[in-house]
Amino acid sequence: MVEVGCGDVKQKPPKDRKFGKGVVKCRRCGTTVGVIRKYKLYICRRCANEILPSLGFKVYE
Amino acid sequence: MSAVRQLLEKRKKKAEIEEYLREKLKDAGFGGVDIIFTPIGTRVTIYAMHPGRVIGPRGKTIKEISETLMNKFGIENPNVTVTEIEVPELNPYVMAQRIVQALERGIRHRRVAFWALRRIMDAGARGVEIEISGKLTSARARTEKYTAGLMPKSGDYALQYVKVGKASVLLKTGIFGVKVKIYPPDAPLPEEIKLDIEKLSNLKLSDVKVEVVEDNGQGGKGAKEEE
Repeated sequence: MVEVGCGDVKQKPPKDRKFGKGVVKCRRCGTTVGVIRKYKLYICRRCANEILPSLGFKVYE
Repeated sequence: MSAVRQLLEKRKKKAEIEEYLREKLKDAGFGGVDIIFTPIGTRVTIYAMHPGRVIGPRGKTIKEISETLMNKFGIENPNVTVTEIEVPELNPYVMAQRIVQALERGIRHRRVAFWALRRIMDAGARGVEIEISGKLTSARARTEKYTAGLMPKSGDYALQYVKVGKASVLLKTGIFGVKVKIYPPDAPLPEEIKLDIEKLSNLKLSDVKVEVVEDNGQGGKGAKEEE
């Protein structure tokens, strides 16, 4: 029988990345999904809806 | 760094600071900040319903705020001042927060909503809309909307004049959201806004002035306003 996830399984720390999708994070909520990088905003699309009006953008639905 | 990016960077910082203060000064009736960057330092004016609670016992809270502004947000030499809001009823953030606090104490949502509606209308607002959503009476979540007066909903006009404030609470049954929309008394009605045709037709190209808006000493060349 094979035991899963115990015994000799070593837990590695997460890889320290310098580039790629995992590095580009939303500076407000920390997600890596749907991050707007234009103008070096680094805000995800969900936060953008809440925060962009205060930056001078017009947010339509 | 391009001018647009420089401007956005500044505004982003302002938005972050506002968010931090809103969370920190929940109980003090936080109603907004004015942040002005000058070559000497940064002037931060906090508008609150209870200035005493922003300052704290012997200035403890205000000291904490200016320290965080310095360390976390990297603002040089912050000069924090607190001003009382003249009419807190006309500030949607303050009213949303007050509704939320009432809900936390276990007062019925219907009663709270009508209380707030009356308060805001008595303060002179042209119109109010209050939305309370969550598990109001049953296990099924619902949204209830209470309105009074006028409320523009569409176009640039609504975006420009209607003020919106939101707040949320976690109660025993789940999370509740409150949205307060206020149509302020000083907003001109749509029919009152008129184009000065005579002035426009006499305008020459040489008369058009380009003005730099939001220039706080650091050369924000981004937004330009034509006059």
